[in-house]
Amino acid sequence: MASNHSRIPRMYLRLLLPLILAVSAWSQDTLVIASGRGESLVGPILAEAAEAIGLRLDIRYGSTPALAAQIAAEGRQSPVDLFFAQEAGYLAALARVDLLAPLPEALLEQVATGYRDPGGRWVGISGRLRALTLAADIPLSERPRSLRDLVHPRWRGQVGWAPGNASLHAHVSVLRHVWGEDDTEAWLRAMRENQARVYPRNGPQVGAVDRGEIRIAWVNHYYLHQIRRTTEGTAVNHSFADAGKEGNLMLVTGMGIRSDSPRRAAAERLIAWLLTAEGQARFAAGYEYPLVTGAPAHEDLPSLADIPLTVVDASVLVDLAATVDLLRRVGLQ
Amino acid sequence: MTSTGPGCQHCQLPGTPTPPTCRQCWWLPALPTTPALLTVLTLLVVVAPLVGIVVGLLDPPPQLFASVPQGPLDLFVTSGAGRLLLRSLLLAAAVAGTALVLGTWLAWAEQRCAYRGRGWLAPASLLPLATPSYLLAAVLRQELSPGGALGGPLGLAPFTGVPAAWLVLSLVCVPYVQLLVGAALARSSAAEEEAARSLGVGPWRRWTTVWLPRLRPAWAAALVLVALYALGDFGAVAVLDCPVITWRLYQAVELMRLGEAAALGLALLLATLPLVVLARMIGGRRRGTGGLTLARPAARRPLGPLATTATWVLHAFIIGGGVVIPVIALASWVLQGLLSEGWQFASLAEPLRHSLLVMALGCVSVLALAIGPAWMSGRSCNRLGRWVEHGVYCGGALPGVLLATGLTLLALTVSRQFGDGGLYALLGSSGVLLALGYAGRFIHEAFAPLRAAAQAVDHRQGDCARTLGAGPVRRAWCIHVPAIAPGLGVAAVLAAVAVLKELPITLLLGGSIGLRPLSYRIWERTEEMLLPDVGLSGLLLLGLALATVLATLRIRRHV
Repeated sequence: MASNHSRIPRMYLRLLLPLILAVSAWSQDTLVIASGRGESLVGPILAEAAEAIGLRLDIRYGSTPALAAQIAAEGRQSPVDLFFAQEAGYLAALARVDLLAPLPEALLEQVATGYRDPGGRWVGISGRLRALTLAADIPLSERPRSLRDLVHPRWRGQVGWAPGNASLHAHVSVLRHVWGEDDTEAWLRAMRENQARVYPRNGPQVGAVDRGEIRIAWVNHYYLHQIRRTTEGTAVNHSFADAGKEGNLMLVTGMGIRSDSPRRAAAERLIAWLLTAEGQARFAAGYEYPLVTGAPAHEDLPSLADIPLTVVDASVLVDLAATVDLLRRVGLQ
Repeated sequence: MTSTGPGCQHCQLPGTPTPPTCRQCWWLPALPTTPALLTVLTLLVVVAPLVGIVVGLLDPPPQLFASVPQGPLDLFVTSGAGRLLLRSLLLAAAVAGTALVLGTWLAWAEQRCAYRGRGWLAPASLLPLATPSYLLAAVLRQELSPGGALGGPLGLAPFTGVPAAWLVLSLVCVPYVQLLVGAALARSSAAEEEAARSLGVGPWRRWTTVWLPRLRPAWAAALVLVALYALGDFGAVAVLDCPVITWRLYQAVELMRLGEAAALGLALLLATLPLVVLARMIGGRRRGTGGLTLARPAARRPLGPLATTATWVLHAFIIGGGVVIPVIALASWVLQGLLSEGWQFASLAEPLRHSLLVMALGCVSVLALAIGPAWMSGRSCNRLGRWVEHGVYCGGALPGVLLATGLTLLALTVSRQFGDGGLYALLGSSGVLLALGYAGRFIHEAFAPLRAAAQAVDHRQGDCARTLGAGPVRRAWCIHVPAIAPGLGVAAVLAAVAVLKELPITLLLGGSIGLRPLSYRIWERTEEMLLPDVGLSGLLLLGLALATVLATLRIRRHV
């Protein structure tokens, strides 16, 4: 009996040790990405990138605010190497607490200064335009001319938005800068009183317009194009003229490398591939705007030259704490 | 005195019957046995999320983007916990009432009446048990909305909010009531009713004096169980944008507004616990009303034409809404993808692989934690065994989103005590939190079959092996494990399927280790309105779940 007992621990060691070594080796060669972008949107692109440069990826999907908060909570012990954020503001917030490493100048200089961190700790990968998706039966003369028109009683219960979504947080941060704090708070309260319908994300809002649940969705432009690949409908995208151009905002998705990541070189290679012509073309095929200077957008998208954009400094997007506090005061968080 | 067993293991009182402790020593632990240690560990796992909720409210973790800290009372007010809970309770009451009426009707028709098609309609009405609520909600939201295949021609209003959640949850819960009430009717003997009829008692009086007392315990149990299910549901209310407490709790955790999550979690806990305790009390009383006489089934009475039509309509509503429409809709979405130019289905390899992983992880964690309490409860026919059973079922009745929130809060709080967040990172990334979440949520699925298997083990074989010099490990491996193997198999299957369908724990705790099983694929593609992918994943998940339900229905018919 004693010999049976002494054999058991050795047997377990013989079985477990190779397993432990294999897991350890796999984890050392595997780049861990926290992606606030949806799997359906970026999963195939990241898989293609990994295959092209010979990397193994472990991608953890979630919402950008949750992943940013998780990385902050885990601190230097976080297993994440690379953070792919839906909104650059969350990258800027992590950079401010020294959780992101400086990026090589060769990566940064490929995109315009407005689409990268002034301190060089994150870089924009693709652009998404804030727009309204409208039911097609809204006549041209009645279409909203600015975001302020959305609180008109004619749109009571007919407007959809996603107050929990990182894109809206970024846009409200910009509105606070352009309109001022008081006007922004008054507008948010008026939207709530006008019974704007809350959705968890942008995608369901476009479906809701198609289904007739609402008539206006405040979303990012590309959702409509993506849904049209499989679902017929009549909804259309709408951007604002000059007078309402605070509604036209180019939001930047970006990447930053965690400052203590042991796989910084691999992370830089991945970012570099995504900024190549091939990588940018993949984002363009998904109806997002490429950010690398000179990279062409999808032919179905309007040219950015025809849309008066609100231009703000990237530092405006860092002030997310005040935006979240504002949304909470208004009862939207 | 005649010795009838090995004697109490503490006081060695001879003549003690089979339970290993006498009445005086029931409170002493079976020492120092592995089952006792496992039981203590299990109860700690059950209690851990509750501790996390309370601690998270008293000392909320700091947030990255909020500058204004809030006290517990402020958190209750700003989170709107009271308003959300009231809405949740009203929804639960509406679903419970609807399911009770419709489920009782179907159970009565199945057990006491004769009508054409009863033989296959009655079992088919139980099939919605297989349909995950979030999948049913996604299908009905799409198809019953103004632009949908059914909603468009019928001119229906948007299918969202509380009314939509009421319909979906009722469809899912009617089979539970049909099962519970049907079991009570099947156990009841016809002798009393026949005696009453022969004494000239009219139908209404027979109903109130003979059947009502028998059905009341089953109704009470069904009402409480359905209310618990509806109160704790996350998937359906999330897909339908129903502003109730579980959906808001998930959103708070997603955005790492953990103080608010703790406030919402505590409110949900305070509403759920009384229902859980009530469910256990009623369950105990129902065991005592199993019937003192031998159950003799009554002759089935044929239904009239109007009643038959109404019963068919009800069957059509349950089977159609709960199974047929989802299957057809999912298949049509797949067809839509196949016919769309340029559409490429996302590969199912990774969701299948991850589904197998979560099923294995869930299975192992559930069985590992269930075996100890099941053994103790099965081998101890005393108060300790019953309290262990109560603890296990109470833990399993708590909503998944609440368990996940509590574990997250506890891990963050403990990690903060050690300084640098490393412990939280370790617990999350290693899958420990996920395993604990699955174990706490589904331990009750494995407990019942394991307990039954433990009760059937003959202790004398172990005694013989001990006298022949076999150690505890050898006795366990050679005698006990083979004896409980069938129970282990059943428990493993039940736990695996439950984990496969689970959504909130997978979303909140599986994301940090990159797990994306079928349930995640359905959720994420529904949010992005990529319906062909939802169709493919949904058909696969539904197929697996239907196969399990059909297998358990076959066992039910032959038991």
